[in-house]
Amino acid sequence: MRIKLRHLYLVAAVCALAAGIAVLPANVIGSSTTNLRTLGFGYGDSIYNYDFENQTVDARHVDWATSLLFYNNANVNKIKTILEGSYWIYGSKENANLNDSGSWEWDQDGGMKTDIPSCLGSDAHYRVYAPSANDRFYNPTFGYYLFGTTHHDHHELCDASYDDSEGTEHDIANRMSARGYYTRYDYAWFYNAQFDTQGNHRFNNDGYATYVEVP
Amino acid sequence: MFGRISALSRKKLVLLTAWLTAIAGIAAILAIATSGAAPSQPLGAQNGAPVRVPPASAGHADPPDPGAAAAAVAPRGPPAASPADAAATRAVLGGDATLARILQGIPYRVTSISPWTDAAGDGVLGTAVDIQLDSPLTATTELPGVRFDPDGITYRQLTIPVHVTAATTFRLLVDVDARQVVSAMPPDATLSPTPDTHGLYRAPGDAHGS
Repeated sequence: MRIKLRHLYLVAAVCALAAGIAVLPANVIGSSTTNLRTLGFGYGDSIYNYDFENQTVDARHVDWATSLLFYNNANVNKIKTILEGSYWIYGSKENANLNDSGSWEWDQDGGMKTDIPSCLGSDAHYRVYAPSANDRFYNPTFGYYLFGTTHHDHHELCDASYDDSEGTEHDIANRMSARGYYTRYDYAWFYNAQFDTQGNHRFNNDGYATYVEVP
Repeated sequence: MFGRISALSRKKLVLLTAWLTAIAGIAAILAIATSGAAPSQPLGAQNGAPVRVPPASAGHADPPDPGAAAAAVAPRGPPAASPADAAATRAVLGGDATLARILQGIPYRVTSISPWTDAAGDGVLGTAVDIQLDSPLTATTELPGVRFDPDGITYRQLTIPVHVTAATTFRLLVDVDARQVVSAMPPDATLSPTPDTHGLYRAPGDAHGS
């Protein structure tokens, strides 16, 4: 019995370690941009075109460019459920500032990744944001909608680096399209084209966002 | 006569009431369906640059993109390093013993040299360089890498034991001041760990995701 308890403790310890590795702490490194601005969706709805490492609007502490828009009848859980076959690991949380109710508010999401962090491996990673109360915006033009950011994580447990927002945007566009959702890759200009290397953060975002209709 | 008119008016009144009730009911249903998500400002109000509205239905032209003019003048690739930094970088590449050991004499060409700054975008750390090898590299070797501190400005250097299989490109980070290649990584798909690689895993509390 004592041995079994020890095994249980061991299993619990391994699970706790795995959870700690899988959900890494929020990024405190951040990056900067000269493109930060608000985007208007009509009816007073607005977002910033980057997410942030903290809950402060600061062009010197952004994380990734907004590159996805799910519209018509989308909500956060629906998108994550559609993509969970490929994107199945929780990521570290970042922050988005948005306005759906006449005042600005923060939403936080860790998003989903395609693999667990490792020394040499990489994974695609997206985050989606919407007003916290309903997990979706609403207006008559876009219906129920939300937005997201994308990137790739590399070697997170060794020489961590992050890049390729376009690659993950394209991957999600392909996956949504393959599942029958009407998808328009790089459909709308979101004013966030950025190509530079800052610390371990390499931007290669073409400035266009992909729209996906979710009935 | 008054009785007849009254009867007709009563019928019209009942009909009108029924219509008004139906309209009110539909309005109530719509209000409930969109409760908590109703637009809070009048039609057309905008906070920020207007974005393109969703695609039209089949057979109709897509709506125009209000950002098209801005998109036309936006950058389409990384900025080139200054001529001085590019020249210094090429000099570093030519004399770097670590890079020479990794490439084992395989010729290569530089495909891009761009600035490498700190996370704030202020301080220049060196250059980011992409190279293309003339033939694939397969080797068991040690690659230099960098692990950034939480400030995003300073970093520590580390050496990662790996198997490299058929790599034809490398991404390099060059510290021009120190005249050193501080990171040399081929695509992840070409990398696999050696028995020593696991020793480089850091404690979860030391990591910073993005």
